[in-house]
Amino acid sequence: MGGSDYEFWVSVRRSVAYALLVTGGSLVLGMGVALLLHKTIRGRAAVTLIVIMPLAISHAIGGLMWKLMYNVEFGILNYVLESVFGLKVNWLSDATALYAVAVVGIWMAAPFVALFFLAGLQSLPRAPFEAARVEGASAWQLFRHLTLPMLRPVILVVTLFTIIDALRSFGAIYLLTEGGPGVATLVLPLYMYRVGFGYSSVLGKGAAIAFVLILLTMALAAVLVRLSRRPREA
Amino acid sequence: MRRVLLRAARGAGMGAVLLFFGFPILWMLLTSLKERIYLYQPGRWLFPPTLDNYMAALVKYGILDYVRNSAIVATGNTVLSLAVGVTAAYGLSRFAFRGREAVALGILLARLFPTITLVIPFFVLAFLLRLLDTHILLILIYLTFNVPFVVWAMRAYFEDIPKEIEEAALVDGCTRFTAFTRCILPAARPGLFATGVMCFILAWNEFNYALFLTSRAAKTVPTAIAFFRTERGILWGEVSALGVIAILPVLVIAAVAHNVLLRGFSLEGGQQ
Repeated sequence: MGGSDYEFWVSVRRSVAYALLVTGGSLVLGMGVALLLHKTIRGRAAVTLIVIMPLAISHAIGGLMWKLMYNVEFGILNYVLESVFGLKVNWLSDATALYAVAVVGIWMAAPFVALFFLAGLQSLPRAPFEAARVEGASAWQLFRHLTLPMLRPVILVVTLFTIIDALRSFGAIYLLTEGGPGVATLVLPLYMYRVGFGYSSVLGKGAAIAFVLILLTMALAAVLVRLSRRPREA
Repeated sequence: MRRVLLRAARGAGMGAVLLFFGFPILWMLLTSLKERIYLYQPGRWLFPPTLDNYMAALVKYGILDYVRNSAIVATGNTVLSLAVGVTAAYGLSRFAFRGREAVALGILLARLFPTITLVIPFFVLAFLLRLLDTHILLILIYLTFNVPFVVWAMRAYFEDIPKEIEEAALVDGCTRFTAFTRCILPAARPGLFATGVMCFILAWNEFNYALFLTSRAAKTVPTAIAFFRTERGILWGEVSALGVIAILPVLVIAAVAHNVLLRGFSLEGGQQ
């Protein structure tokens, strides 16, 4: 029992780390993309379409494509690295696997964030921005004191769903590493799968892990929901 | 000078964004056109393209049936999710009533469960209702994750729209319903586009339910990936062809929805 308890706590930590990396990375990158696209008028539809593509692909197929690109011997990433710097990286090794998997998670989640932030930016009223610009506000001040507060409801909802989906994500990680090497990328859904459906299947314990996962998600969701409701109630 | 630098920085940012998001898809397209021997030469950009992988996917594995099933399920589910979710979101954003937050949270709860935990209960239900392996089953089950999403996303957008807009419409003789359809929905078009496309994508790509609850007549595209993970390894060319075939309808839908919902939107410059 002691050994598997160790695995359980490792997987809790992996899940939290993975969710933080993916949510943080996607929010920053997604906001950057949304601002870029908002400023671009010409060719916006085409660029939007390219940015949406990672969303449009199923996690399973997307995960496999990254596995192909990460391949040590015939992956395109190592090919480029080797021809430019003369080195090869084992991307899915113990030390880097979690980050490599998180990059794929960001690749899949950031377009969702960008799409929703862009929609939010597009429906903001223009008058306050023009007024502030007349007063001599800088671009950063506009962003910090007008854009961010006005987008607050959308930002919180997007954060909520990004975290929920990061904590639930299974398909891409399963196809990339199956939770390995060892326990390097063993997030809770994969641990649940190993315990519940692996070769020594313990369905009851798998269900218990699922329940822990739900509690963890609910706690995070509760914090975000409270944040999002507060200003309206006041 | 500063202008030029800013423009260059923006261009570089755009280039990096397109590379990061677009390259894996481009790589999938290239891989799908490669014969097996070229798979292991990543540096070779010029190779005689082949359509063998597509022929295998379409003829040998009958992927078109899967595409048709996915299209029926995803379209039906998106329409239903929006119809239910958008109206619920409007109610939750505009009317104050006791227990409002509890209702919103209750709706969200359905989405917190890892789908793999709900497969068995849904299997039993579907068996009892004689709905196993049907389109309508997947359309209904996918509501469990898409309706909460629509409700929460559209509620956030509705709350961004000032109440004065529909108050003016009500004074002008609109009913609640016509104020909603003529004033609020048009103002929320960008959010409606993003939400609708997202629903379609989630339904199109859903894997766990589709794998366990369909067997022949209603199998969707993602379940076909099982063909290409063999004991001899992954059939990279065929998987890539499947990926390209699977992504095309989504892009077409997104482009059409973009045109219908957002045409001229940037020119109007948002709501007045």
